[in-house]
Amino acid sequence: MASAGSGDEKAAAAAMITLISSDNEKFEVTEATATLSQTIRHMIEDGCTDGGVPLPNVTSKILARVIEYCKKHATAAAGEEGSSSSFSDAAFLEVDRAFLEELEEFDDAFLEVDRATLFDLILAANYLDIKGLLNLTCQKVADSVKGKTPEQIREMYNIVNDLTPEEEAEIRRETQWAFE
Amino acid sequence: MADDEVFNLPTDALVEILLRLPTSARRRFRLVCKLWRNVIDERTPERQVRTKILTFISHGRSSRATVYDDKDGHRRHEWTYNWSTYGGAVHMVGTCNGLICLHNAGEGVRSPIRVANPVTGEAVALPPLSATIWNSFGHLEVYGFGYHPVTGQYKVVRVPSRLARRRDVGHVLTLGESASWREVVSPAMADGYNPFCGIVGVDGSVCWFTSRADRVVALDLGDEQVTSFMGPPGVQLVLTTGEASWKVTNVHARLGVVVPHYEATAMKVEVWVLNGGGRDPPRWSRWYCLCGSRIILTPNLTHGEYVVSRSWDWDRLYRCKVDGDGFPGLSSLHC
Repeated sequence: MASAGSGDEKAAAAAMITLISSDNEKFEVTEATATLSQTIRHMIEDGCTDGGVPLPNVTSKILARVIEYCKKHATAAAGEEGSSSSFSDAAFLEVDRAFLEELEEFDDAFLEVDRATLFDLILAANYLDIKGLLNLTCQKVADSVKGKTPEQIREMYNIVNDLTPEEEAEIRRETQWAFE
Repeated sequence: MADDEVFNLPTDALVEILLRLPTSARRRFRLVCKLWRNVIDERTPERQVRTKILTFISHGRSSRATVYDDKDGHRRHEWTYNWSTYGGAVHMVGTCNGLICLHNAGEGVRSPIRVANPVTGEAVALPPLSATIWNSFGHLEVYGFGYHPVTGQYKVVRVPSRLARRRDVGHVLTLGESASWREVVSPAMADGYNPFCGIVGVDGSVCWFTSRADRVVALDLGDEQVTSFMGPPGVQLVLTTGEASWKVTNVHARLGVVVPHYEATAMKVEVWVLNGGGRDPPRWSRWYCLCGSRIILTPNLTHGEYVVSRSWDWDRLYRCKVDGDGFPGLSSLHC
């Protein structure tokens, strides 16, 4: 039957997805890994992943890192699904906890990158709509700017202060008391 | 190598980062540049969510304020504040935009007024009035707290004390600036203050009733001019301050006066609101007549479309949609 045939085809194709970076490098990943990205998940659902998924906004260097993250976390997601069926198994939960710790270590190590790479990862996570990665990377930036003054932020990121003295005075009036 | 990177993230990503910062840092970063200011103002809860302090209960040693979301009436935060002195009683001077202004009568000449943000836990003690002004009757001091939306300034107003030699002299302090008290002189303040009618900061003014409780005195927080005008038809001249049962309050960001009537089994509350335009003569209209007991009347009567009532022990609050006249029934707000 025609419909069954196309279904089989889909199932076979679903196993692996090809992602193509902006510099035309190809990455083969499992569907479970790829679908951590909501953007790619929608593409798969719409059936437009044949012949690979071009990602013109992501370089091979960054895509490799993103895939590394997704692989690790896809395994974690699979582990979580499994845990619900053997919920009462104490030994399993123990393993689970060890795995979560390992995942945390992975995340920490993953963030050991320079600022430019971190920003590229945020851009990729935003574009690919990968919640966990976006959260991880944005939190890293937030933690690094948290204690800074506005002046330090401008120096850090070469931001030009385009507020007029009047606007600045107005903001200060509202916020000054909170500095003390 | 020179570290000359640029903040080249799209606005969406900037929003994600700013959302992960504590409120105090976010407020500070409005000074970075126009883009950051606009993103913080428009895309983060910083200014969108107008929280209100609904209840404030002071015990001997600590005080507790509960902060609610202005839109949906849900509790966002509960805040305990340890500020107590011997014989002191802390009470709420006023609240606006999620800030709370507290007065501790027991602090005397030191620093009786504090302004705090219960969500971030920040608090500032305001400088005291000079000792010559202070009259050793701390509990007779009356303060109001309000926000002027055009200048963006928060101000604390000290109403002339009835024991002061000059009853037409009040004091105003602008938060954040040089933070010192300035004199404001106006004959409109000479008619005193009725403690039973309260004081409220609303619509850019701090308002209170005269001691005879028939007129409202309003200090404009923009130009600091003081005017006095007739209260709504529901109020009348009283001989002793305690006869006045009505109170000033905030009704949909306008000056309102609530007039409770106690009947055999229930309480009815007439709600009068000052319409826009001139105050000479003032145009008051009766917006609602609410029925029910323990409705929280001040400092905010309305919370979005709701009014709120409390259980006898303040542990539970109930909210109800106001639909023109009275409440059909109270739905549970939270416990």
